Amino acid sequence: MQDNNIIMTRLEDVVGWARSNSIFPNLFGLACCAIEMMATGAPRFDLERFGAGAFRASPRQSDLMIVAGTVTLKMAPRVKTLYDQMADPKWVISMGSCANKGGPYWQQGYHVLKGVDEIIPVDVYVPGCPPRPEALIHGIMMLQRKIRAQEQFPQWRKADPLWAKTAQFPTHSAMERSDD
Amino acid sequence: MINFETLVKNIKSSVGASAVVREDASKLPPIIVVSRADFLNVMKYLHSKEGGDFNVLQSMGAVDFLPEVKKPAPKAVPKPASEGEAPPPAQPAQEEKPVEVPGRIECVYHLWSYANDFDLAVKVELPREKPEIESVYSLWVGANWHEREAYDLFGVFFSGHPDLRRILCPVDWEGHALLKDYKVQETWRGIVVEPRSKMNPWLRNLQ
Repeated sequence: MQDNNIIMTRLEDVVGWARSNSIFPNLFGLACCAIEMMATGAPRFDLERFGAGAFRASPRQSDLMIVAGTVTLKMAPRVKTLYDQMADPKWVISMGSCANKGGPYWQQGYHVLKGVDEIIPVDVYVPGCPPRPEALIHGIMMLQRKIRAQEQFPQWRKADPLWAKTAQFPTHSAMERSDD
Repeated sequence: MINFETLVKNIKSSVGASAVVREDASKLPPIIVVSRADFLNVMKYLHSKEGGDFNVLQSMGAVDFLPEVKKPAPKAVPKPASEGEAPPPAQPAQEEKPVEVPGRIECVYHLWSYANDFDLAVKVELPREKPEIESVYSLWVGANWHEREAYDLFGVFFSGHPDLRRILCPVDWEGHALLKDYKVQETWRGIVVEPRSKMNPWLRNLQ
C-alpha cells in the first residue's frame, strides 16, 4: 500500500462512505426518548465510534434530526421550522413510538401530533417506548446503509439534460418531492 | 395545634354561618365545601394568622361534573311478620321522582399550614355554563399558573388574575379540553389532529 497508493473508485461511493460515517445529529430531544439518546451518546453505548457522536446544537450545522420524544401540536410548527433550516443532504430518524405514530397518546391525545411524519419526511423509524440504545444504534446503522446506497449528487443529475428524458420513479407519498 | 372542628367553627363565626356548605372530616385531607358568595372572605380568613395561617397553596385544580339524573332508590320489600309479633304498619305509598342534579365545575384548593402542620382541602361549586370565581393570586402567588391551567382546560374565568391566558394548549385552540363533553377539533393550522389512517382500526368504522 505504500507504493501503490492510488485507488480507483466511484465518487459516489467515496462520498457515500464519507457522509454515512460522519453524521452530525441535531441536539433535538423533546421528551423521555431524549434520555435514551443521551445514553446512546454516553460511554457505554458510544455513538462516537460510528462517527455520529458530535451532536450539534444548531440545525444549520447538523444533517441528521433524531426526533426523540412526543411532538405536541404546539411544537409541530417549530419542528418544521427547524427541519427547514437544515441544509441538504438531511435525514430524519423518528425515535420512539410518540414520534412514530403518537405513541401512548394516539387515541385520546387531543394535543399530540400523531407521528412526526405528518409534517416532515422520515427516513428511519425506531420503535420502542423508549427504544433501547442498541435499538437506536441499529436505526443509525440502517440509516448509514441507506445513505451509502442513495444518490449522492442529485443536483448534477437534475442539471443533466439527457436525464430528463429517462424514466422517473415516484418518491414515497409521505415525502415531499423537492423542486425538480 | 388546631383541629378541624374548631377551624370550621371559627370560619362560621368570623365569615358567616352560611359560608361552609358541607364538611367532611373523614377524608385525608379534610374537605370544606364553601359557598360561592363567601369564597374570597373564607380564603382571606384562612390565609390570615388567626384563621389557621395557611401559607402554602399546595395545588389547585378543577373537576367537571355533567348534569345527571339520579334515579330513586328501589323500595325495600317489607319483611314477613314472624309469629307473636304484630305486623308492621302499612307504609304509605311513596313515589320518588328521579332527581335532576345540574352540572357543576368544582374548584379544589389544597392548603397547608406550616405553623400548624395542617392539611386542608377547600372546594367551591361553580355553575357549569359560566364558571367564574375570584383569583387567589393576591393571597398565594403560586396560584398563577394553576389558574391559567384551569382556565385553559375547563374555561373557569378568574377575576383579578394578572395574566389569564392559555398555558398548555396553543393560543388559537378551540374549546376547553378536559370538559367531559369535549370533542377535539378536526384540524389545527392545517395539521389533521386525528388522521384516519392512524386511528384504531377496531374503532375506525364507528367514527
